[in-house]
Amino acid sequence: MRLRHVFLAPAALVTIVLFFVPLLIALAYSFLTRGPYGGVFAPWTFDNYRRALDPLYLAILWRSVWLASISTLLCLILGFPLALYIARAKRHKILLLNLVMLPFWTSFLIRLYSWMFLLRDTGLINTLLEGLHAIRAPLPLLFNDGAVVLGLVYGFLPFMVLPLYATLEKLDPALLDAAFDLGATPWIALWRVVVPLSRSGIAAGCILVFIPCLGAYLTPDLMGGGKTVMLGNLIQSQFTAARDWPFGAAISLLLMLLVLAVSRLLGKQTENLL
Amino acid sequence: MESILELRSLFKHYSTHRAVDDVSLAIRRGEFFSLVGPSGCGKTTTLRLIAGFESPTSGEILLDGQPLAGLAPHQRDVCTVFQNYALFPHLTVEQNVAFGLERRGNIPKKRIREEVGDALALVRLLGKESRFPNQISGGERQRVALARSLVIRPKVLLLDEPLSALDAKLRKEMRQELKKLQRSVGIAFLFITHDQEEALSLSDRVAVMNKGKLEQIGAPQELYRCPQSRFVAEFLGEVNWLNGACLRPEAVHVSRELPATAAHSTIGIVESTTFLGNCLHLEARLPDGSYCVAELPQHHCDFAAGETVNLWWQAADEFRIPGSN
Amino acid sequence: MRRFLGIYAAAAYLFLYLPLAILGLFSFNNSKIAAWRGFTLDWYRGVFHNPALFEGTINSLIIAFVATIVSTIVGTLAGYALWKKRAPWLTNSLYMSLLAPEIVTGVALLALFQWVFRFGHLQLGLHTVILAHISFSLVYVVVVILARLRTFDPGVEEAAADLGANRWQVFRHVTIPLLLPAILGAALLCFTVSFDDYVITSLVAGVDSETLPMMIYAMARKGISPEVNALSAMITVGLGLIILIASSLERSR
Repeated sequence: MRLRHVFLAPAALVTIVLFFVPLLIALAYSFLTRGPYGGVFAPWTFDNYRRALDPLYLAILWRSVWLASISTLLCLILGFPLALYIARAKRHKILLLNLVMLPFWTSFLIRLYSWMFLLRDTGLINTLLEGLHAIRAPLPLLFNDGAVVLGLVYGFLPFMVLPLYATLEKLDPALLDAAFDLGATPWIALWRVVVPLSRSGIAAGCILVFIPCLGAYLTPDLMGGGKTVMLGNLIQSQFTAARDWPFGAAISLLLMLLVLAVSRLLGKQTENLL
Repeated sequence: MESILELRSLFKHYSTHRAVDDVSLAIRRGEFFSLVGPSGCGKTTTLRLIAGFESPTSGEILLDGQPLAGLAPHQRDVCTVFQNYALFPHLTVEQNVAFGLERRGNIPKKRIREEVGDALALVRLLGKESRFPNQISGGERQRVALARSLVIRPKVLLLDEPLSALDAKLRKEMRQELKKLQRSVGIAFLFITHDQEEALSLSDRVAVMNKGKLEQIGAPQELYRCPQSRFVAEFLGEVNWLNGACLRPEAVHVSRELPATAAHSTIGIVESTTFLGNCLHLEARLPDGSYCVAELPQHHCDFAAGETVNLWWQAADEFRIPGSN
Repeated sequence: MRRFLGIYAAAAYLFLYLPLAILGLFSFNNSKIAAWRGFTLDWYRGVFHNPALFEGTINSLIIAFVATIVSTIVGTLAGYALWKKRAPWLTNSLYMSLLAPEIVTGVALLALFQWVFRFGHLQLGLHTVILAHISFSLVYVVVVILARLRTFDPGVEEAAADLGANRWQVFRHVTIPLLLPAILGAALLCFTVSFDDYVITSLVAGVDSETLPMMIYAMARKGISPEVNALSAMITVGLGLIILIASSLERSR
């Protein structure tokens, strides 16, 4: 018994001191007021939360949800055939899967930068097209919502593929054979057999993509160039340029609550996956 | 002290059911004792209670007169051979067998080498010392597990369905080896199995368990010929119920003419005959509508379905179950 | 249908790897603009002769090493204990820390540090970054260790105890040797996650403790820098190799 507590104690300590306590402090800050030069002071107030309901910030919330949803949907559409391919592959399934995950583990920052290199006004694509005289002025491929979505999809596609693969791999190929045997076209078989049976994988993939997209900071920052403000960017600006820690803390906690709510909602769908 | 291992009113309750329900038995020194019963009857739980992996809800376990209560598995002088052998995958055969001796701490390396060699010779596995568990066959792994447990000379060896992972032919071979092994080391074996044939062929005494309770303990012949309950009777073999008496199929004789020496008899209509290789099972329907199975030597296969035959037996072959009618 | 899927999959893999491949290619480009002008190693030389980059790399390495060692030890012990007997509160907390957006964890940790600093003459620096990295990398270790332990036959530990090994001996002679590949794999994973982190690090790093990702970020915002291409190529290959080693370790035995 005691050995077990010794083993758990350090992890418990880290979790409490370096995860929960900071959140509690942030919670406290969210009810305080900002000082003239930054910093936090009494009086205690609900103002920060009231301000969060301002249309200006609700628009940011909406944009975050909207961009995260589009990215998740795109990841699903793009990731499903890939996951299906790997699941049905005759050999090297694990290798193929690892090849999908590998980019994710290298460097998120560098992956975003690589797209910047391609999409900028002075980037590769524009330089090529100008060199071929296909365009006269550079195309604004970067620093807009589309680029942010591209960045999010590029970043989190592997997270959709992994759980989809897990469910599709368990799918009994005999079911598909039976469907074809009964006269179904591949399209029908896909929609009537494969997709319904991979519901839990789809739900898991959506959670794993939607949540990080919702709280994204780096992608809208680099790919959106400051023009696309999502909740993450808002929070970051409060803690740096705007020096309004209490407001930033309030938005942070609201974002955290939103993330927990979404994971609880979608999580119910994945109970049978785990 | 006569018995090396004694269980006194052992209980193990879980929230949903009683796995072990008032089990008492005593195993003698040097005895081959089997605990047999269907899956889920509590025999594995009993073994785990003795080994120390679970604690009893109430009751006592005494090893050589000393209570085991409160002692952790590594402090108990019993050793288990697990169903799937649980060999250490990262150690060679030699290292596996040496493991228990090394933990003692005060045995010189040379002595450990010798003991390991002796143990491997006993199970006829010399020459495979430096192989890893995944490089040897299932039967060989089982022998490593035996050697590993025997080398530390426990007072009792607990065997949890050790033959169930082997194929039928290997199983029969290992049965005889196991019996010979037990005789030569002289340690008491507590052998768990769900296969009554195994239990009956190997043991000095057998205990039949059902739903956590002990139904009967005794020598194999005693259990087979004089079962004290319906469960024991049916578990150890087929039973025919005829007018309140019980008969084993091999006690029922079948012929067209009734011999004068036949003490009891009835007539029946042959329903089917099943050829089993070394014998024949003949199923007949009796006048009262019930069925009777007779076991005949295999060359008596000239009864046709629908034929009316005589079924007869001796009074001595009948047995009655106490408390049943 | 198989053919269509095959073509699609090839396109998908291309999509995933092409940007990085192009970046790698242009790291050898003998020009500052995105048009190919010949092969050169100048940018790589530039990276190695850049003292600021050197310092940033050292900082990143120190942080990654310390955080990895601590997280791996703490995470392995916790993973083992959780495998023996569940502790939902800890598992759920770790799961929450995984879900939490980096920006939220980052600002919360910043709030913690600033609050603690009121009580002493402390400042943001390498130590705060290390603590932050331990906080978010712990869950990765626990996940890897638990995943490996779930494939364990618990009978092996029981057999060891049965043969006379006490709890500590079982852990030392049976569990750890069998767990070693997973521990190394978890450590390598921890290292890459820590080395690459930008968001949390940028919030809790002090003035003197800039890390490599922070420098890359600054350069990336400014514009195209071929040195960033070279640096990115090296980091990608390096981290990629580490991940390959880690995953092959995890799968061994």
